[in-house]
Amino acid sequence: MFFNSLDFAIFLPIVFVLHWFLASKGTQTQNALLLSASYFFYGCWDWRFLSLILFSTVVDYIVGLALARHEEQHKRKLLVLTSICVNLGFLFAFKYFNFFLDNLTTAFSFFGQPLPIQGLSIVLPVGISFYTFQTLSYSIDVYKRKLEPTRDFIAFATFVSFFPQLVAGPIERATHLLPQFYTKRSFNYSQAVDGLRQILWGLFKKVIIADNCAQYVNQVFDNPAAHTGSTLLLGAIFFGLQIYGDFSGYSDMAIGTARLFNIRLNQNFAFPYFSRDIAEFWRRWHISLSTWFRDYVYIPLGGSRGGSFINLRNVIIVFLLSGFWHGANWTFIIWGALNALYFIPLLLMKKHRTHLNHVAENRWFPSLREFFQMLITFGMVTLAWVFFRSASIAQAIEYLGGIFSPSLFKAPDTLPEDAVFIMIGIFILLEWIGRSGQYAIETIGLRWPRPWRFLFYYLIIVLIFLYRGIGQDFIYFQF
Amino acid sequence: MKNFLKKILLFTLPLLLVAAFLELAARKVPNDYALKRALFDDQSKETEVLILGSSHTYFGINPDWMTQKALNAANVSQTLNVDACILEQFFADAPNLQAVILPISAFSLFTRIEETSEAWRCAYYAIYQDIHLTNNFQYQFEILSLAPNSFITKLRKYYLRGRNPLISSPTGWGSTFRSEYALELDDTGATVAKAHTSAPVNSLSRNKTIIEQIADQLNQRDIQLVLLTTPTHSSYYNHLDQYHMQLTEETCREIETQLPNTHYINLQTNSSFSPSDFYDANHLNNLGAKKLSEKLSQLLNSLITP
Repeated sequence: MFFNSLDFAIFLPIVFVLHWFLASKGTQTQNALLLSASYFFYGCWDWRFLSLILFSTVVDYIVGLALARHEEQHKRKLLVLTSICVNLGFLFAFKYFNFFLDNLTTAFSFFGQPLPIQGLSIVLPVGISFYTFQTLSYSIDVYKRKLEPTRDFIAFATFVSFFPQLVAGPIERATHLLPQFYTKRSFNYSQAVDGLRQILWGLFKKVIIADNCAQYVNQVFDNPAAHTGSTLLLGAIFFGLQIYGDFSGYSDMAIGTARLFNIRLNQNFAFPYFSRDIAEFWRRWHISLSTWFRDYVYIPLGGSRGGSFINLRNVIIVFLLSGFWHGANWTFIIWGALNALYFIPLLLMKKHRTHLNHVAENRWFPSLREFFQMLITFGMVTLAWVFFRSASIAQAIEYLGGIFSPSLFKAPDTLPEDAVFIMIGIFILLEWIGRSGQYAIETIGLRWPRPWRFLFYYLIIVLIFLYRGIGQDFIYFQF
Repeated sequence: MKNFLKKILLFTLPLLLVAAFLELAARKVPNDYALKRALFDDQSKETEVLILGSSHTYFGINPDWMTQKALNAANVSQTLNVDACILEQFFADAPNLQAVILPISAFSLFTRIEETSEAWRCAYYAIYQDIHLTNNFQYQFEILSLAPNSFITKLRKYYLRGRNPLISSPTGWGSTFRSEYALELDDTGATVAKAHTSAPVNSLSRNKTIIEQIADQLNQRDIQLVLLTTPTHSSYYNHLDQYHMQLTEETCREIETQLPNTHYINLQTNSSFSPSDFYDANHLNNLGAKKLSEKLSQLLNSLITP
């Protein structure tokens, strides 16, 4: 059940009305409804994998309670390791097993000892990387005594499987989301309106920007050898727009949907393509994953406390893991490594925290310097996306070789429709105007007079109807 | 909460009204699916030969050139599962039915319309022919199924330019592929052939089952089933995936041997069709359709026992 499907358009209002209808029955009843709705939502993808979520939930719930009972450090360590092994074990089995097996057999074959082992036919459960990290954060936070373990199983299960962010994030921390399932939730009109507005904007990003870009991107990436360098460059730029529209659009819809239930999720994207260097980009792109790795990998490894070498090592580990998190393919690892390579010079020069504010704050336009900084950052990110999008490293190298060829200076041999360029123009303009908010059209919703506001919403809806691209799956569902 | 729901309703009401108006306007535009449904109702009793299938038979067999009383129930991108539904509707009300022509093209055994980019046609089958191929709510409405451009163009052409969108003749034949508008044959073949044999082969068994069920059903009333591969140009058949073609040939031969009423006729490379008979590399034009229809008519005469 996709957020941009009719099924969801029927499912959401039913859950919404029932949820607030049950408000008088208490938070537990509301949570039970949200839990049932979440399991139904997930079951629509593949009901068999519900058992996985349920198992993870039960294990972490029990580990949490056991941690509360034991004070001995070695027992506590054993408990948290159990949670880590179970959760990462599932992730490894479903996502990485074949990758390691393939590499093992390749390595043995290289040394003339072929292994007679076949890979398994494994279906990747939707959203496993997201909910695994979310539930792990609970066990680790309880172990570190940052959080009191919950005795409310329904609230905990709802935290693990809350349908708006279950399959593609934002990855929430137990410290932030779980307490919201304990407290009484009453209907908040302005939150609900804001939620709908954010859903509308997410839909625009997904259906207009991502889906339209995807058609061109697929055409170019499917046969790179048939295109000029300029077409390949345009294809890579369009992929950058596609993945941003797709993933941040999903996040917007998830956050907006949660707001309808008066539940706040963390911002996941903060206008990353307006970043002035790669460090700022990573503070603004997939924030919930970056901060997860910061808090549960980078800092436990020593963070920046052990000197430059340790810091450098930790940063590289985090980027490589971040790449590997996206998929069991060397292309993702190279993508992570490339971003680490971009980041290291800033770290060594201690310039990785230069741009902490919004670009052109309190100004309409960026300075020329800021403009070029954004352009260069976007260019670097775009080149790295080629690895992310390609099926293999060889294809990515072929693609990049095609870009940096004499045909880069020829006119593109194929272009998207004019309307796509117009939509992208409107999109960038609105993102720029709204860059100080949580999402682009937040300020429009809060400041414009009602008639103009309504006209604007109608316009967006009409644009979605008229220029919707051919429906594509959300890219991040595969992770 | 009530205030919120009221405002949402007020906000969405104009949108719903406009959408409902556009949907109704679209349904008022004549279309070949509704026309064919009317033809089924009007002609089923006297029909002797029913022609099913995709564009290959829709444009390729003109019942007017056949000596039997025939009806063309084919349509663009129509797959075997749709054919089975049409036959199901038609069968009980067709006492004179003596033969069914079922085209087996390169893609026939490996695709289903609801799983292809032509899935939007499911809405037409649901609305106008009462054939429900999917539970997807979207395919109950034209406005939600058609690409926005196609939807707007459809309304504009009919209401603003007064164009008649019907292309089927009174016997169901698709009449627009005229020889004078024929496309360049060499240009169209390779791309289409690759697209037609690019689907994975895992749908083979369920599509084979459909043919077997149809053959069984027809056999009970001694009705002949002709599995027909229509003529195509060399620029098309030379580029088809050989594995797909081999599976198709083997499957059809196997079914042919199983039931006495089933006949597999493969005219794909038939030399009696010249380039002037084709509209494009895989479709016959009106001249080719005449040739094929007469040929089939003769064949059916020998198969149908008086």
